Amino acid sequence: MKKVLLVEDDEFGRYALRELLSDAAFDVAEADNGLAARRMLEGDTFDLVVTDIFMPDMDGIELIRLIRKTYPDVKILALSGGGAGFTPGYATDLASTIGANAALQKPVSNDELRAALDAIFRDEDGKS
Amino acid sequence: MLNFAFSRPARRDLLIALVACAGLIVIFISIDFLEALFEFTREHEDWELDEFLATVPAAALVACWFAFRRWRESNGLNRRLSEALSELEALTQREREIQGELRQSHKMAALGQLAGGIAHEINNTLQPIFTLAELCSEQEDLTDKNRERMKQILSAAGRGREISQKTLMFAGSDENRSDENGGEPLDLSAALPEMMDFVTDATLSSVKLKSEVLVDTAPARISRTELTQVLTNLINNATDATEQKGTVTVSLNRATPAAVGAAGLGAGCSGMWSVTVSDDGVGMSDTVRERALDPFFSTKPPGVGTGLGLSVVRGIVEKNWGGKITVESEPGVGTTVRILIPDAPVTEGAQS
Repeated sequence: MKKVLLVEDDEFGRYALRELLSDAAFDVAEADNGLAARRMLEGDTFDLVVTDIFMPDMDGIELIRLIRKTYPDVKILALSGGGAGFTPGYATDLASTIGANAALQKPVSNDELRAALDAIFRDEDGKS
Repeated sequence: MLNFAFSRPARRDLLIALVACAGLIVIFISIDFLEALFEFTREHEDWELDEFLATVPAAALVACWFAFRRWRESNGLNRRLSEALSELEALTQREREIQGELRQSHKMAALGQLAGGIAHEINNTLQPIFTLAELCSEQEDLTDKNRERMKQILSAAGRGREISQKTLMFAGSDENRSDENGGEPLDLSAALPEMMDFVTDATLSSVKLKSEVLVDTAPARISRTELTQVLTNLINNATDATEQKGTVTVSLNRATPAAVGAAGLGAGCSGMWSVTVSDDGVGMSDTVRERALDPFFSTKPPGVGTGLGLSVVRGIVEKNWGGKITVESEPGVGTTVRILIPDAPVTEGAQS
């Protein structure tokens, strides 16, 4: 079973994504911001990090940079609802640019999410 | 409009001179002055009055000449003053226009931020509704009635998504695009100095601001409002970096092929303009420089900086203009923010 770290500051969003990921047979751990996620990454090994972008304390962009630098094998799926003062897709484009394996604009359908997860691990299987 | 074509003092002097002349002539004629004078000189030849009589008209001529010179100089000065006042009025008018544009730019930026923030909240709220409603809909043992209810929940959420996408499009400042120039390219070589004059007045205190426009013309399909927003942000940051006592230099030039290539814009970009904002301030460490353009990243104390300025600038430059922004910095030496903007023909080519 693949281990996923779900990083999302919105309580309802975290609950919903946990349900989806659990149903998709992932072992899900949760963090409500980038700092908490960093601590969990230090103590455990994950196959995938699903992260929001705009979060308090430490945002998704900084987290993605940290993961790419320190845990290069961990896959990253970034999700963003956009943010104040940004063009549509700006945050997801930025996340992709700095190393997320996939980045989706919220709200995203379950089919799109599952397809993105499949693609991420298909790439990995293809390489291995 | 003020009119200084003929000043009152000059006219008054001339009138006094003319009236005095006319008056003297009338008096001299009425008292047979010349005849009396002739008699008088004949009677007192030893007084050498002939020389005196010859000198008087000469002195009168010289006085008239000086009066005329003064009148002419005064007219010239008035003309120059009038021209200077017209120029000043034009400049004041232009400043008022730029102030209006800047106010509009700030208003649009504030509205855009508000709209983006609202869209962000709506999207985050819609995400669990979509995810959970779809998970429920996927249950095979769901009754038809509840399946229909789930479908309605998803339709309503779908409408919410449309609204939030429209809001995000607004937040992306679509209406600030180059359409405001009436479809015409903006000449950066003219627009940049104009805006800098205004930004200097509006933002700087003891900081020395220099501008170097090294091209005669620099057309680009960008909006004046966004350019003002970008320059204000960059100059503000540069000013802060110098702690209000250094030099900030804004320059415009054609980008070198090396700079275009280094920015990863080589293909399809035959010509680009390079706008740099440099300061001799505190500079940045590599860690700070790497994050300088990220949203919410700020080195300013809490409550002073939002951390949004440079990331919004990046959004405008890279998303709206199809350009590139890079930051070079060395601690203790200074920082240069370079913006590459496609020139107008390249943008047309890219759009076709």
